[in-house]
Amino acid sequence: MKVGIEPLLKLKGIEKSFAAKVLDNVSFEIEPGEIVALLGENGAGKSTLMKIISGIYTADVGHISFENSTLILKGPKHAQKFGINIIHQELNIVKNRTVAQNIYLGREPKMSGFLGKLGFVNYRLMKSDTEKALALVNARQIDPNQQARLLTTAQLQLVEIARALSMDSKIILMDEPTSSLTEDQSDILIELIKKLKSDGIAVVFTTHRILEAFGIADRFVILRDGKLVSDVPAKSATYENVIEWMVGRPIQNLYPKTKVAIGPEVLRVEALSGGINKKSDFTVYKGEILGFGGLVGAGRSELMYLLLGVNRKKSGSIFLYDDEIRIKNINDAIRLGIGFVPEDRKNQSLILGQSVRFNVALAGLKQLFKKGLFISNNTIDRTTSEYIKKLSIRLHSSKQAVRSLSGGNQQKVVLAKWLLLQPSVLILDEPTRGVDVGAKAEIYQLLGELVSKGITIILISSDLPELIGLSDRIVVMSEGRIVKVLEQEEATPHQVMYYAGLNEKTAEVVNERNLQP
Amino acid sequence: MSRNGMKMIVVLLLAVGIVTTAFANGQGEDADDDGAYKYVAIAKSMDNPAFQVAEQGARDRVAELDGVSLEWTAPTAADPANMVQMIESYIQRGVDGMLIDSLGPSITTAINQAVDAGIPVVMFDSDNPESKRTAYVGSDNYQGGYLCGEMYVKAVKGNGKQYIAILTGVPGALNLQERDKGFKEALNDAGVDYEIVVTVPGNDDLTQSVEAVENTLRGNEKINGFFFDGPWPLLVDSSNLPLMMEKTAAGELTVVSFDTLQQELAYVADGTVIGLVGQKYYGWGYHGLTVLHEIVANGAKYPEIVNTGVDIVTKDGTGDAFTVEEFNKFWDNFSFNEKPIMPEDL
Amino acid sequence: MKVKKLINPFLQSAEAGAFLAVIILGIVLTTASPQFLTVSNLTFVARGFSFIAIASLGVGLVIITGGIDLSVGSIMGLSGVIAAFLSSHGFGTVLSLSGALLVGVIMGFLNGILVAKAKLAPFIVTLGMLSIGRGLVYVVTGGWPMQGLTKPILFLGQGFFLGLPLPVWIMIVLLIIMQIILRYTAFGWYVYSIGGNDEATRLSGVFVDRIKIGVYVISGFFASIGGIVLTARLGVGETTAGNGYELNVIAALVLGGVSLSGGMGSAVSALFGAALMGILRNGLVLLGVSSFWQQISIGTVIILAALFDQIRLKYSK
Repeated sequence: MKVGIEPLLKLKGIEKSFAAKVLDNVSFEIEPGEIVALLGENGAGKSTLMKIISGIYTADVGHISFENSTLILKGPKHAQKFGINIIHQELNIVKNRTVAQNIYLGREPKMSGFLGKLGFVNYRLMKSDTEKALALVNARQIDPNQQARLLTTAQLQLVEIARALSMDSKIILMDEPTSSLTEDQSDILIELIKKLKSDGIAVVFTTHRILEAFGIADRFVILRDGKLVSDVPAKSATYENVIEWMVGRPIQNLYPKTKVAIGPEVLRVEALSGGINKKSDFTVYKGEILGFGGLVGAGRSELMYLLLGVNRKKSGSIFLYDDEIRIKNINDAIRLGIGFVPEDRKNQSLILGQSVRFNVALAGLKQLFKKGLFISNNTIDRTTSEYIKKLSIRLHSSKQAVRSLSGGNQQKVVLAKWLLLQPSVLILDEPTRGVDVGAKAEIYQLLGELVSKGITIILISSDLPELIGLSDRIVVMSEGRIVKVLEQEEATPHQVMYYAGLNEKTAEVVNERNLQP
Repeated sequence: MSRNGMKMIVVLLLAVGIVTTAFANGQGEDADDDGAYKYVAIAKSMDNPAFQVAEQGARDRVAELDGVSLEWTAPTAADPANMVQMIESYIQRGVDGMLIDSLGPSITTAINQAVDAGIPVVMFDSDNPESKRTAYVGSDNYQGGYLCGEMYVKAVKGNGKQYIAILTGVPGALNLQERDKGFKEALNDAGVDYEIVVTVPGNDDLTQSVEAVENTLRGNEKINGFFFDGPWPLLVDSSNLPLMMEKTAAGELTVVSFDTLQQELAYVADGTVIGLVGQKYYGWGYHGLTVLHEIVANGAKYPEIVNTGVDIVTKDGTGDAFTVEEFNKFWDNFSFNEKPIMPEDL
Repeated sequence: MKVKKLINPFLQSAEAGAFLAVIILGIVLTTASPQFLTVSNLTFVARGFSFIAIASLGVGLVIITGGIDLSVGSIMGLSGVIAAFLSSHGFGTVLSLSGALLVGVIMGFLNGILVAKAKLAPFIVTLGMLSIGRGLVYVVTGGWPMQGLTKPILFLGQGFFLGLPLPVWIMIVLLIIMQIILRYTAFGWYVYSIGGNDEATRLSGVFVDRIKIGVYVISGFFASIGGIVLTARLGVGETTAGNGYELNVIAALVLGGVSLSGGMGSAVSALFGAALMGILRNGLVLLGVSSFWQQISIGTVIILAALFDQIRLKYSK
């Protein structure tokens, strides 16, 4: 912190609890024209903190002062009056309205006189003001009368920033502004953030792309489990420090890796392309857990969708036990013995309103439970209770709606659904997301048992300790490509994060600052 | 859980409460004094004002008689299956006689069930000749159309060739076709040189009918005559029919129309329409109930078809016709100067 | 308490509301009108609502998958008219019935293809089909009622077997078939599953599109049966037959506890819902309530049924 400059915003002892404590005694300051990178793992409390600063949440405990006077915000609109604006990860744009209408949504300039009192909008003024705002974000090419849905995500982001600027912002908070942008688009955004800085506007942003943060931030504020663990000038931090602060806990012993002898090749993928994925190759062996690491949007789930026939592949071949297989849809994959636990439990895996029994039996209905025309409820009951016991799913009755189970037990229901099909390959996409610690350990245990029974597992995880602790090898992806395959011995969080953030642009920063792990 | 159960029962009781309130209200409003003779009348639908006039006629006749009660009802939409259900329900309830406006051959078996159960059935407005119905009371559509034709002939005599358009309701409706047939027959009998240029449907819809008239006139300049076999376009304000008003005012177009509803009378008064021939809506109810009651109470013998005749309205009211003023008064008093038709009158 | 144990699963089932309402209404009507609880009256009532109930069985399937079928009224009308048309042109009973059923199946199939493959909104597709179907009725009949159904077809609507009208038998048989399909076949499970979560079902290896097409075909087929029986009952292929029945069908299903957001309901729902409406209509006539009030009470009951369902759902979670 430079001496003599008055901080714009001061946070002192901020605490916030929902069910559990999300923020615990967080204090830091933001100076005018400063760029702060707010870093931390998923669930570290970054978003909550941003929402408190922007008036969406109020802190349970703590004190905020703005320009040296106490600030008590009644809501986001109120925060805007002080020049504090937030841009959410999910952009807040009404797609079927024009750019100008979006920028002035809820505060449209009215016509003068009587007509204005009736609520008539002064479109000409709105348009010219929008043009000015767009000029501030170097986006003169966007037509204020263009429908928002015709713009790219990056352009929409610029529109959001233009909206913030049109409200005379002093602080702009950005939650994961680059997560859905391509490299080039990110560049434009980064340039813009630098321009905002030179205009004296402070920017606080979160990102999972740590290398990117090294490129622009003046300061790193790092949160872990709701606590502020570090607040340092960017210049004095090393990549290793940052990762250690973020991850911070001893890793290895949480993951009792059962060593299984690696067998012959089971699944091989050659030059698989389609969607954002480009020419990906990988091989999995019997008894192996193959981890997939990378940032959100790196194309890990999408690669699996291509493999499983959920999305159509453009080219590439898939070999099972060295025989080329053709998978047109997920049904083919299931028949060949590949199971898939998708990322989003509520939307992709479970019929929440139906019973545990119903959900467990769903995928196996045709293969296992059909006798002639009809399904055999007896067999279903028997198999269901067998798997409920095996996976120790805690419930009152198998007729209970899945909705009423805890996250961990819900995930076990999904696992049961696939395990009773006795797959030879099981693909798990973020299997422990939203699962409590106890159930996590049980799921890890289960994965160990599965590989020792000879099942091959592909594990996508954004939880680094989990990914590294469980996987025999880790495939790291970035922007639709496989950039590195790490053996378990050499895999560290630094390594994974380094390769996950690697692309042409960040490579420059890496070289400049000598950040290579 | 018992609290929740209680709540549900409360809601259900509420439901029953509301429904029974509806019963109570309905009964208070509808049931006439209990009499020795209980009749029910089932009209085609609830959404046609003509049936309100008919209902008034029936109720007026009930008031003239002693010990007679009447229930007037209709399916909510013109749905034959619904009418069948209603007839069956009334058979169950055991009424002394039914007055029914037929929704077509679909209800034939239901009428037969009633007759077989010993309930006399008198049809009004639309007949159901295939059934065992006791009698039909209504106007002769062919005769009405013929009278329209005669009026038309009188108005255009010596004007040269007539290019005539006909506006009809839903294409294929039996009663409307009868009217058209009568109209043409009258022109044939008078030896008029004419051509029916087009028959346009308005689908019993006011807006569609108005558009049909205006578009026909716009698209076909030689048309100099128009026959409406129902009242539709004349039920709306004349400002909706600029072209028709212009042509009739200039004497380039002759219009005759069926029905004598009050809104139509203004068009006769200002000379746009040369005359109206109307079924006796009031008579459907008044005479229908008379015939039904005479049969039930006194075992009277009527012919199978009891013709109520028609009303004619012209500007000057010559001959059998009423003047506009006279007929307006009928509507204002809701009383149409009817006398009960007794078997000996026929 | 034992009684509670018996009652609770019942209260949790979707049909509870309609069932209770049928019972309560039955008691009220029996005390209010001596004619209500007679064999002949109940027979007529059952025949009266059987057409709606039959169509509801098919539409119920569609609604459980989260779709809607507004075209059933028109399919009913069209099938009836086609049966009458073929009969009157000397095609005989079997060909006439097959032709009429085929029309229902084809229209259902078109609905299904457009919903499942072209990804159009079911509301729009079936609304369009409603109009097309009704238009075809006029094309076939020219606006005239069509007579000349063969004797065996007429028997389907007007005949009796073991003291019960044939339409009621047909309804009962179809109800049992539908209940078996829903509870004991993979197809039935998938229907619920799709209604609960389309995407999760697809990712469990189910051919969701085929199931969706299947339910619209079944809906068209059942509507066809309902339409044929209705026409046979009336004895004539009427142009207005089935007009507006889609709303009665949906109302019956909602009354029976089928959730319009999908995933919930049963074949029995369709029966109870249709029965409730039929009994209500009959009862109101027996008690001499005017048609205007009938409309109002039926509307009230529909809203109350939905309200009841909401409360039930809240507490069964």
